[in-house]
Amino acid sequence: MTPSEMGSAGIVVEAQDLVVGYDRAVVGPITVGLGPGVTALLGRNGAGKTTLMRTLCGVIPAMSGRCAVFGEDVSDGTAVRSRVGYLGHELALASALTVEQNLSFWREVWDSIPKSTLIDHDELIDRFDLTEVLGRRVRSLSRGQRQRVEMARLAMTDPDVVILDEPLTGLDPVYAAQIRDLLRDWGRTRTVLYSTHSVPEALELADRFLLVRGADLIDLSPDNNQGEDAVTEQIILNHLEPAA
Amino acid sequence: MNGTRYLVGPRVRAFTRRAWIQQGTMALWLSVLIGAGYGLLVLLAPSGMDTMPEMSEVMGSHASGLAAVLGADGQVQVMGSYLLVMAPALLGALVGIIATLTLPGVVADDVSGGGIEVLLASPIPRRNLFQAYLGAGLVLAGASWMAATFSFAVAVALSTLFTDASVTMTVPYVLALVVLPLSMGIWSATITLFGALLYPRALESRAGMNGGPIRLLAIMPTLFAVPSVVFLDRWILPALGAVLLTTLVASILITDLTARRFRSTRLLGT
Repeated sequence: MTPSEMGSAGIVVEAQDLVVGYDRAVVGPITVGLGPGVTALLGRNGAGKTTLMRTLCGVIPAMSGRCAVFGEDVSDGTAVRSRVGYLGHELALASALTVEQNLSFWREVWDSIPKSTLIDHDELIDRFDLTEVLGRRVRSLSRGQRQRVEMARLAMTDPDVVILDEPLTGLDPVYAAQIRDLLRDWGRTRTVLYSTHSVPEALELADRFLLVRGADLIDLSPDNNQGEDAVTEQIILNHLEPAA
Repeated sequence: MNGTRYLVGPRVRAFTRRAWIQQGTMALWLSVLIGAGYGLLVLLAPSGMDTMPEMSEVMGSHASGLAAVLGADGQVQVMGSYLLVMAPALLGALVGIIATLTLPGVVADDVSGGGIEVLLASPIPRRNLFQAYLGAGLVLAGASWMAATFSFAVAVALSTLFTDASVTMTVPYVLALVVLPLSMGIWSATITLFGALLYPRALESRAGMNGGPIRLLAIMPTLFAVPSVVFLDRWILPALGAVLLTTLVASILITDLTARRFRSTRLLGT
């Protein structure tokens, strides 16, 4: 990413008057910009976090408004999408295939895209400690092992923008710590947006917090904290569950 | 959008390889089993059925003009000939059925998992994605057709060695063996993909309609293909041409319609 590619305020992912939903609007209109760093997306069950993330990376179209990455629209087939890595709530791995076969499939798919940059296979295996599970079918792996493979799949394209839907759910403490380290590391140079239900985890990992409440998106970044000095668990909970 | 410059071949290869690992063995063995079984049936099973008075009326002299099973006395074995003539249509049905069985599995794994989301988030234009799925389905259907036809031919050839019967085939019949299964495979794969991506619920089994209306639609043309080989022997080449042309045009239109009408919100919102 070059400085000229970012907006004047270092914005990489930008939503303008964005309304997201399926057959009816779920969230929006919202206007928000994301720059490098880790941003946590929080909200209650069914609030629309997944819908918002899917829209931001172009999986589903916006109902109205605009969504752009590096200033370029994320509509169908746009080249800028190759710079976005997406990890959905469900794993993108075929359960009947081995880890090696799954990674080969995604490598071949990405290879078919011109100018795509792919991290070396062996380096990827080393980085995500996958040597011992390479020959195993995905269906035989634990949730944590599957998530590691999924993260390797995500990292394969070396994306500048990483959008992850609850990447830490169901992981044991060791795997969760590894993934947190990875997200933190990515956040130093990349734009990371991830959703979570764990407020303490978000407070530990993220430097900015977006809360989905009703149709609104509440921005609790440290410099936009509505008069508070620091974002705390209570502040987030208060926003998510306002007093009746 | 610069989707047309994207490399379709490698992507179809990737999807095909994955589909083959997931479904290939089942599709292949099923095809070999049915092809060989049918081949054996043509020469071994029906000899006692020629006495059925209606058979010669059913067959007339039309079908034996395309292909026939001859007994040791040189007489046409009516039932064997009937089964032989029906082989292109039945192999077509087999290829069609295999396409409807395997393709939803390939797509369903992506839809029920997160694969489709990652693919839709990628810079690959949706039309190219559908082509990759379709390509994989067609390759599987093609492999099934080859396996079934080959095992059918081997079974017929081996049967003639162990019986006094012989087989005659005309060029139009051999063409029918190629065109009908190929057409049915293309049609079934296309319509099944259309259903899997646009109307996923149409592929669910329901009481009295196992496999759903989409599968019924996928197999239906086979019913029309049967008379084309049995009763249109004089017009067999134009009939085959019409079947192939219609299937190709319909498949192209349906692929286009799939790409136009596809809504990720509908697929992911259910």
